[in-house]
Amino acid sequence: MGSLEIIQYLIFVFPLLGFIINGVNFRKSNALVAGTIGTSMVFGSFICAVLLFLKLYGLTHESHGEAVAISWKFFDWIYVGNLSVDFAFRMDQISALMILIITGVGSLIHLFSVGYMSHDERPFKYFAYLNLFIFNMLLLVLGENLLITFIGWEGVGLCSYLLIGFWFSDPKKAAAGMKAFITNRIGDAGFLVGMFLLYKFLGTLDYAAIASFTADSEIGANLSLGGWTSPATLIALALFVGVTGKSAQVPLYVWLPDAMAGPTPVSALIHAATMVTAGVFVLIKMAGLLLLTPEAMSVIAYIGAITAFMGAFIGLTQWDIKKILAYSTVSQLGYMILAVGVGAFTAAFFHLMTHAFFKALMFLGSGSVIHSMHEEQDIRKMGGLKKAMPITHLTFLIGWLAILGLPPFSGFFSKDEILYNAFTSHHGSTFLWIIGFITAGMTAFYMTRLMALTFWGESRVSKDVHPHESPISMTLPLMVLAVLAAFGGFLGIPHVIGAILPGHPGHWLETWFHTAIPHGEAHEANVLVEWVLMGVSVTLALISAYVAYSIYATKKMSNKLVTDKFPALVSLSSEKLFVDEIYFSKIINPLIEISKGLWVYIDVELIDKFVLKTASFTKKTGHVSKFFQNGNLQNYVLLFSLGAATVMAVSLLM
Amino acid sequence: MANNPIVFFPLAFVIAVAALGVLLASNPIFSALFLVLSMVCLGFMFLAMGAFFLGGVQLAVYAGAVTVLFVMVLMLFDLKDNANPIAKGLLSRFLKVSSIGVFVGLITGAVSLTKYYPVPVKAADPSSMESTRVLAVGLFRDYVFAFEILGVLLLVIAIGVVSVSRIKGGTHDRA
Amino acid sequence: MIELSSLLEVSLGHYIFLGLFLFAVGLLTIMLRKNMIVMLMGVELLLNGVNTIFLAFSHFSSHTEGQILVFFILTVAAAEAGVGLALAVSIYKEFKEVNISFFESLKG
Repeated sequence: MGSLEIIQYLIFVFPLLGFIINGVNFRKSNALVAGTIGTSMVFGSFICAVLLFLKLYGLTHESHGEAVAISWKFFDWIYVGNLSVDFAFRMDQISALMILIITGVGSLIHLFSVGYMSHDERPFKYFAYLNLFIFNMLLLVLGENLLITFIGWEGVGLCSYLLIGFWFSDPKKAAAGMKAFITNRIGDAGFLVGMFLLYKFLGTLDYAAIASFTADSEIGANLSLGGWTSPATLIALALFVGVTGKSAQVPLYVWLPDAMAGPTPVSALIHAATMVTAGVFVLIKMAGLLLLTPEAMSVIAYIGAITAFMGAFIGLTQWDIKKILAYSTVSQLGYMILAVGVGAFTAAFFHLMTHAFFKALMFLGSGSVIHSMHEEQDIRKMGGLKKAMPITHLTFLIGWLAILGLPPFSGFFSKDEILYNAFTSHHGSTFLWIIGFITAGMTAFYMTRLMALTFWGESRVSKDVHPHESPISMTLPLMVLAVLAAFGGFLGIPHVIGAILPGHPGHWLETWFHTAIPHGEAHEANVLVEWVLMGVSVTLALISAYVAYSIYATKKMSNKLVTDKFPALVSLSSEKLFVDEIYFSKIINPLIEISKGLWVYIDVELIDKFVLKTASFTKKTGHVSKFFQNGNLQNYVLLFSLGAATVMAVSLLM
Repeated sequence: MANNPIVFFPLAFVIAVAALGVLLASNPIFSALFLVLSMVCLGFMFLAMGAFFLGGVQLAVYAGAVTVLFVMVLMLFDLKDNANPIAKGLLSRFLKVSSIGVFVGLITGAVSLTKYYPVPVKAADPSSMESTRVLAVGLFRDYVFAFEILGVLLLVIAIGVVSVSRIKGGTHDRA
Repeated sequence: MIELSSLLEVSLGHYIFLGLFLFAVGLLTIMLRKNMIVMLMGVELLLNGVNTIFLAFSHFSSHTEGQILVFFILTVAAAEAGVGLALAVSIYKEFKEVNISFFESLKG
């Protein structure tokens, strides 16, 4: 079909074109022109994404239960030995929603950036990089095989480096960019090993082929032979290393808080909505493989839980508004990984989607605050901004309610589904649920603290700063995202609630993913447990929020109880659990010492000396050879006669 | 007559000593005089060997013209008597002498060990005119081309010498 | 082994040895003497040595080609002596020096 093919090309061409057009003009400084080009290109991709989604929707309805996807190929690519990889794309139900999120939220963030970067020196470069990012992200999610995904994976890593270190003249910001890239690269090594193992055991890198292999019972049984050393476990763990790098899990999450050095819209796009979710996306795509290996899934679940807990714990005592949101992101990503680890793939994607909405909303909101406070980011210097920035406050409030998990906002549905699955699934356990539960409480606490110190209470704003509401180009995306954060949860209404609502709405997301994601063994739905868990989580969230409100907003309670009795805990939290320091002293500094040692002992001593000896040998040979050309005629005659004597000797005596 | 040891050995002895005198004399005029002696005795040796024409030419050209040229040029230069005429450097001297020694030794050994000597075709000792005639026949009939080229070469050399040693100024200068 | 009586019998080998001796002395003169004119004398000695050998071969094998060759060598040697001396005179006029150790400008 002609128009469909054009759309399949256009969805990539638009951001690439935006990158090229903005890229060649990267020295210019008209933010409006750059922003218009960038935003319109991404919006064009969004239109294409919507059309493709509608087409797939129609196809799904017609197919009545079989797996269906739209696939297209650009060209044959690698045909080496047994490996055949095409440069082709396959949009199944998961990818369809992802491209909507990427291009939709991406367009809103582009629009926001027009206002935010209006005073920047190099807006063209910024929008070029943003468009390149969207292009790479689309490659990642639409790829038919892991290799195309990996191209996009590396590409978004590159773009995040470029964008985090956008103001690279500040060495700390440049270092943050490098930290992101290097940590990502370490993860990528694991991802590559995973791909190698996948090729070795299954002979293919296609998602569809892998899914059909893992669904086949015989091959599946072969793959899971051996428990912890089974092929499936090894592949899954190797791929998971890559995911820890990209999706900021323990131990490779350290780049994400530092990445706040970049412009705030970048944080919103890359570190809330899209790039960090790439890891979760790949895990969901490989769900069939993961279900074969309970060992790897338990590792994934525990790391997700630990990350969620750590992120929230550190976020309790941070003073920079963006750092709080960064640690919150780490924590919510932990939730998504936890969901994958317990086999609740749909829940993981659901939370991915709602998190994209409310976290991007809050990042953009914080961007609006920072912009109007003239680049001030410390919340101790804010307060009472409710009056000065009403729209920002209202939208941020909706995001806050969503992340708290209060019904009927989106966060409630997705987070509760994860917690329920953690409690009841075969792969889950009560311990995991407890960690998730406590983390939810901490999340409520620090987010309320953020709201109280920033927007409510009395103003601690310094005298020379006059905060004002941001222009419409920045508040419009906030409003759109607020609507999505408020009502996005209705895509995944759990059955227990749907049963009591008029019209019995179902879990649309589950139906949509029914053919795309394999299901583990079904556990029986215990209605009572579900209601109890929901009630308990909401109650804890409300209590934590109230406590934080009283401490920070109304000053009725004081946190001195905790800070006096447990000063060690407080410093652990505010010093980020000393993770960076541990990395430096245990890993990085020893490596530097080893490198220095190698440099001194091998490079200077051995190799340089060897080269110098060779050079001096050449010089000495030259000295000796000077005898043959010293301009002395008699010397030359001597050489003649020596030669003649030698020749004669040789010919006469041999 | 050439095979007569009474003729050969004294002449050979004088030639050898004179040659050594050329090498070792400190005054270059002495070297030139030793050279003359050597040339003259060599001319006699050629005569004894039966190459009468060439013996004559040797005496006339070498002993007569070339040596006179040498002496004339030496007179032109005002040379002080050189204290050490031989090139310096013990190693280089040793190398030079020894390389020549090796050379000579090898050839002598080769010659003395050889078993084949060329056999004379006809009877030895023809009349004096006979050898010159044979030489002339060879030059003008068999190798006349080389002979003519030789003449051209001599012409070129003469012109070359004159042009190399021209001087500006002087009594007959035209420019 | 070579006996004294056979040494007295003059044959080709003696003449060759004589020519070789002249050749060697000529070469040594070139290599060892520093005066340019004496070096040219050494060249003459060299050529004379070669001439005796050619003549010796010609005499003992009764081929006249040896004498013809000697003729040529003699002529060319004389001419070349003239050229060499002309050059020596020019050099003396230019540099006022005939000691060849002054002419080592190729020395590196």
